[in-house]
Amino acid sequence: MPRILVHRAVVYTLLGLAVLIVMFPLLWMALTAVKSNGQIINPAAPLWPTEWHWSNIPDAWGKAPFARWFVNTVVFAVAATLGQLAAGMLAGYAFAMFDFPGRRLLFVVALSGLMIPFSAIIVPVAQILGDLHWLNTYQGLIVPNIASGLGTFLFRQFFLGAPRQLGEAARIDGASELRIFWQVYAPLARPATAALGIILFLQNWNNFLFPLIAVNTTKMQVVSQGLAVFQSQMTTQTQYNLIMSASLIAIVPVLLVAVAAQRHIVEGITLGAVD
Amino acid sequence: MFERSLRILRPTAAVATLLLAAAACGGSSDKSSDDGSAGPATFTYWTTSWTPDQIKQVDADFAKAHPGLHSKGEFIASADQYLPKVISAIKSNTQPTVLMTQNASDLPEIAQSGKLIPLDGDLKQQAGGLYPGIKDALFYKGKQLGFARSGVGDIVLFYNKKDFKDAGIAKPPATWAELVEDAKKLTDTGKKRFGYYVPLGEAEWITFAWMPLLRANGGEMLTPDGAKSAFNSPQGVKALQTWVDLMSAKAAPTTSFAQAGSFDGAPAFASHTVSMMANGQWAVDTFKKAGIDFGVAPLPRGDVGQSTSVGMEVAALLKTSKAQERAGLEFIKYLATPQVGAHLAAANGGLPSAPEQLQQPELKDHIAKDPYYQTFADSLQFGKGRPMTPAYTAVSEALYTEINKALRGQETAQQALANAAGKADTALKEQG
Amino acid sequence: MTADADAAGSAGRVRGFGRVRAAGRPRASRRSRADRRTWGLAYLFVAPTVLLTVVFSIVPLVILGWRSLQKGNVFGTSLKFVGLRNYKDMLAEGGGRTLGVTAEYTVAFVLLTMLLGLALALLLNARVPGTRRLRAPFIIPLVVPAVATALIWSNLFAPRFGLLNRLLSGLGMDEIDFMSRPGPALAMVILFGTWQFFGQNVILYLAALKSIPQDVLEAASVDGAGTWGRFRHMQWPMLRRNTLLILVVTTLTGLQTFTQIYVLTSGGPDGATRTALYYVYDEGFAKFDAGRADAMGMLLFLISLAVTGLQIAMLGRRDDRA
Repeated sequence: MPRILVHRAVVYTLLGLAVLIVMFPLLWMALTAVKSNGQIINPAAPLWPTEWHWSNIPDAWGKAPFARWFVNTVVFAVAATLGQLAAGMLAGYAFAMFDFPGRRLLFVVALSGLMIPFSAIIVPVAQILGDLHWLNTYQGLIVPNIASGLGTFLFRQFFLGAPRQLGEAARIDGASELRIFWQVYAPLARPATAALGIILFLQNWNNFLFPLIAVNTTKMQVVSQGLAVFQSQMTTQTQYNLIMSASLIAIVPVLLVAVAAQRHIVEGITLGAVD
Repeated sequence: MFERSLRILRPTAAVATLLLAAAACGGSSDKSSDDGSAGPATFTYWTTSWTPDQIKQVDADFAKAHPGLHSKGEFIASADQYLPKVISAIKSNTQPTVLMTQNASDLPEIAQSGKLIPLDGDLKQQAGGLYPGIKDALFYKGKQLGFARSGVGDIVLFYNKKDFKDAGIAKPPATWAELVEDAKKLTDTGKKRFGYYVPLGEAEWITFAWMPLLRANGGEMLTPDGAKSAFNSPQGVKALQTWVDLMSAKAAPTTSFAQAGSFDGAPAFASHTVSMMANGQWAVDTFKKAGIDFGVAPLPRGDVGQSTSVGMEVAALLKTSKAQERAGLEFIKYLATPQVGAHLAAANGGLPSAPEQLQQPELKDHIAKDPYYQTFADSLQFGKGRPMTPAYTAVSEALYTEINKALRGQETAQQALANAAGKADTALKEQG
Repeated sequence: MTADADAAGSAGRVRGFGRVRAAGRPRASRRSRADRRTWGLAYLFVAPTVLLTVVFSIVPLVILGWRSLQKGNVFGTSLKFVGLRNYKDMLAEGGGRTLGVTAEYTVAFVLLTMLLGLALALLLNARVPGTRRLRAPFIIPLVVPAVATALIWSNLFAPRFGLLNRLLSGLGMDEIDFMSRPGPALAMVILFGTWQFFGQNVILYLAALKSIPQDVLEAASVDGAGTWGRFRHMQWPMLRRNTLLILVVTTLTGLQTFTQIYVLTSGGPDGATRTALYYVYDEGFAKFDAGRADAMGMLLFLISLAVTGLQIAMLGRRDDRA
């Protein structure tokens, strides 16, 4: 057999195995979502569904305002992600490209947010939001999340590795620093932006502790909160299959984003691949 | 929904919670203007158990009963996840007027904020009508910190009828000694079938499930003044020894049937691995769905009588505006009426908090349709809540950690309780 | 945890940049003191991040630090200055043990997620048709709410009838009690955490691999370099900078593990899975010992800072030499 085929076979086998292992808990979740409750509750029951209760999924949908949660979450996650990308790219660029007094200290400050466990500072943060009168507002939900240590760090690492000659050449041509950033380097950062954007979006989508503190009204509830509430309520009624159905519903949009995004990562990466 | 933390009780509550933090958040963002005058008012209350439909219904019924007063309920988070929310709200002055919590022992700490209004005097008569074990659990240092609405939970003995018949046992055990004997008879090691489930692992549920045994033998958790632990006593040792004996006789599974943060071990009974277990009303549905043919009986008698542990949701009044506080108090009084109590128990599940609620036609009808209900309700007469102390979580942790060691044979019952008492006393000294 | 807290960053002595930059790099000239005109732009660029971090992270941290030196209730209505006593109490009362558990968890978590992340990124980057479509599965665990997966995971690890134990007894082996035995319980939460997070490292490594110019690699294959040689000599040196980033981020995620523990084991059995952040949550919001919780929160921050600084100092230096 030609070497290339062996090579492919190995890659496919390993990847297939990995995909299987990674997806297994989710497949199980999907199977559980359509089982009868009795089968879920009895640990000795067969693992494969004995009856298929497809109606569990519409039942779960009807029991909670998923559509509204999705809208709120999309607004929150998109706005926060865009803010994080913008702020992170600017700061990362400055830390990588410019030399200025206090740079080292400011870099430590920018990254410190990542090292401070949020659950340790819940109470002071709530107090600050209260003092700003930002509780139950969109700005209260979004603005505090914009400073992203991960974004700053990643963009800095990226720009440190970007070729200097491009900037030098533009500078000789008389381009301003702002223009060099915007027209020369920012486009180069597409792969980094795409990868980071996906990671940040997913994190924002799943964030629940912050919205828990920042928002008091059901109107502004996001998916992660809503799902947890739904689960706790359905648990008291031992409706495990509905819990699994609701989880499935909550995951599907993200799944679609992930599938759409995988193509995007590729494109972004191909367009931006330069060094 | 009945227990201190569902986490404890139900498989997923923890989980749910957990992740918690779930929550939907309720809020008192709309403070109505405050001039102290009686009159229309809108206030918010937070619950950790009612569903949105139940909340809507309660709000509508209350508005009908008290024209001009409007309650706005929010499910903020599940029971073991709501505290960060509550503390943050109090710190930023956005707390609700009425807070309903399943963890009554959180109230003394919340009172430290200066924003909790004790109900002394206002609900004296209603409190007098509660089951004694429930009423006692509302007081801390002489102050009544909240009121227990209906929707209470306790634990009873579940037994597998078929297994009992096969083993030739006519009726559920009346004493803990009998239970041990029956458990041995019901055990079939070859089939991996066990007589009883002793909860393994470390969780609040273990303490909650052990308290009835302690109290039935005449022991108590704390001294009457609440300043020191009292479980390290001959009665306590005997209570723990009962569990240890079941384990060493191999009449109980040696693996934990905890599931997703719930330690009641329901899967052990649902999977027909054990023939008996102590559990709460929430498990009825689980076991029915699992297709088990089971009966329920009060927990067995100990040296001095019977006991069970009671969990409840307690409504507390928080400082907001005068008009809201007045309306909130009306709301708590409304929940305390026997009719409303009976209605809520029948409609939303759980047990009555006062015997009078049982006499209401609505609850009577409900009980007639549920063959298991009466046993749970009867047990309330000798039920007791968790001790009311801010150190409760620490005391409970000390206890369940050591109990687990004793059950695993790493310590004797005496050593375990002595160690637990040492840790508990330190916590009580610091926080009690 | 906030999104940000899940991710991570760094600080400390950052060797890889600044005035100590190795000489000879083209940008050295641009960094000359004369370049004051870029200062304004630089400050403008870092301002949003720095200011927001100060308001929503540093100020709360300072409050936390101050509170950690006082005893009193969680509402701060009865504070009493006690110096470092909270730290002493915290370390004596189980806090020290949680740091050990956190270290065990973090080391295993970092090794597993980074190795798996790199391995899968390399596989996904292999020039084999169709692999692009296989990226999504690795991203998905990142967004599955732990609430939902906790039930699934406890089914997998359940005694007797859990999938794993069914497999074990099917193979004639002894069952494992994951829920009440310390070792298996820790292994279980490590696996849970790894499953949930390693996708992030797959993405980061993949992005790094994609920015390695193809012509370099092609030149290498023409030279006859094998898969390993190509990786060792061509790809790995270029992945170094990203490895530092990923290491720092992953370590901080590991140090702040909470959710997986909370949903599956609540810190038990016998504290075997009780991590530092679980301690913060439990002491602060269940046991109301705000002093100890604040002390641990502060200590965890300082440890994160030190570990990150160390990682950057060590790897960053090698980066310079590369």
